[in-house]
Amino acid sequence: MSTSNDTEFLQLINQHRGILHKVVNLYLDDKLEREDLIQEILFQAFRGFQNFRREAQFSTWLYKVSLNTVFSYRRKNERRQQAEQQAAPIEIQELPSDESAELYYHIRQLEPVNRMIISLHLDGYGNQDIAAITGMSANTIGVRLHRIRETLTLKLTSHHD
Amino acid sequence: MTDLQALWDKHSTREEQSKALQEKDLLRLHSNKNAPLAKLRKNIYINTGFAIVILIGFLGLLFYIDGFLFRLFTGILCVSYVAAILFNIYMVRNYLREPAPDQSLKEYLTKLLNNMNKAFRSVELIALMIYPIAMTAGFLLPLTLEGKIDLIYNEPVVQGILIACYIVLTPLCWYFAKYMNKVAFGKYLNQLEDILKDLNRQD
Repeated sequence: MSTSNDTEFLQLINQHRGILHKVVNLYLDDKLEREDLIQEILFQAFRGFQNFRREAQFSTWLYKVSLNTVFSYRRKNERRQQAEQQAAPIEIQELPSDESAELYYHIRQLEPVNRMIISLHLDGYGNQDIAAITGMSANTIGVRLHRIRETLTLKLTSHHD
Repeated sequence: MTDLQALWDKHSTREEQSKALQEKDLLRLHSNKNAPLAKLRKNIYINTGFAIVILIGFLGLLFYIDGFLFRLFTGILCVSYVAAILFNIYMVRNYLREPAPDQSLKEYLTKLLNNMNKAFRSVELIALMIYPIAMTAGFLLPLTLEGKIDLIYNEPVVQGILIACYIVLTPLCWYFAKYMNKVAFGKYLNQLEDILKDLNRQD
């Protein structure tokens, strides 16, 4: 990788580094694990940057890299997590008092793919973009989004009523 | 109806932001893959591996072949290989370390490149003295095995051939070693030099 590429990568990743945190926070609880995964995403992004086609949006590409890394990490650790969950006592988490934190809390309760869809949608990505990232059809995304929005709205309003 | 978008934006602005990525972090990312620093280290390890194998071969010859002169030259070769192995370990430990967190990347790279270039030049010069010793040992091996070691003292033709070998093969070996160093290390030193140039340009 040439050094001009390095500089470009640095600039772009610094502009969009919020994406890394957003994705990692949606899927992982442990702070240390999150930090490790951010490093792993950075490494994967850095490695893949040589093949990044400039006509695509960097943020979309970074989202894709981040999600792929998170999902493959989760797949790798699935067995360990299941064992930990079975061994650990069930923890009842309190709903956050703040409404925006509550939304985040409910999003984290959704199934993994839906978490990704809604977060991308709320970050301003269109159905076509989300479809390209997730590999689903734009129609499926539309239907899923409708359901997710309904579920979230219901949960938020029911708690505050 | 709850405005999900407004709530999401409110949460997102509060999200923890990491500190910006620095050039130093990039070097670390480089070292994770086929990075110059990692490649240099790897090639020095490979070089050391070969040196150990050759050293074992020399030690075998030293023990199994009887003959003072042959043992003397092979012994010198063994000592030089041990020195080369130790020097490789020294280089990896002292020159090819990751930069300290508080060290400037420019300072680190300048020092690393100076040290590595100096080290390779010194090794090439020392090797120039080792090649004739290796050739003599190689020359003495068949003579010792056939019990004709006296030829080296008494036969001018044999002495002439040995001197001709020195004259022809020493520069050839030197150029070959220089070329091998360039292939194994030069490319990665150049990459580090490019990073340094880029950093200097940014100042």
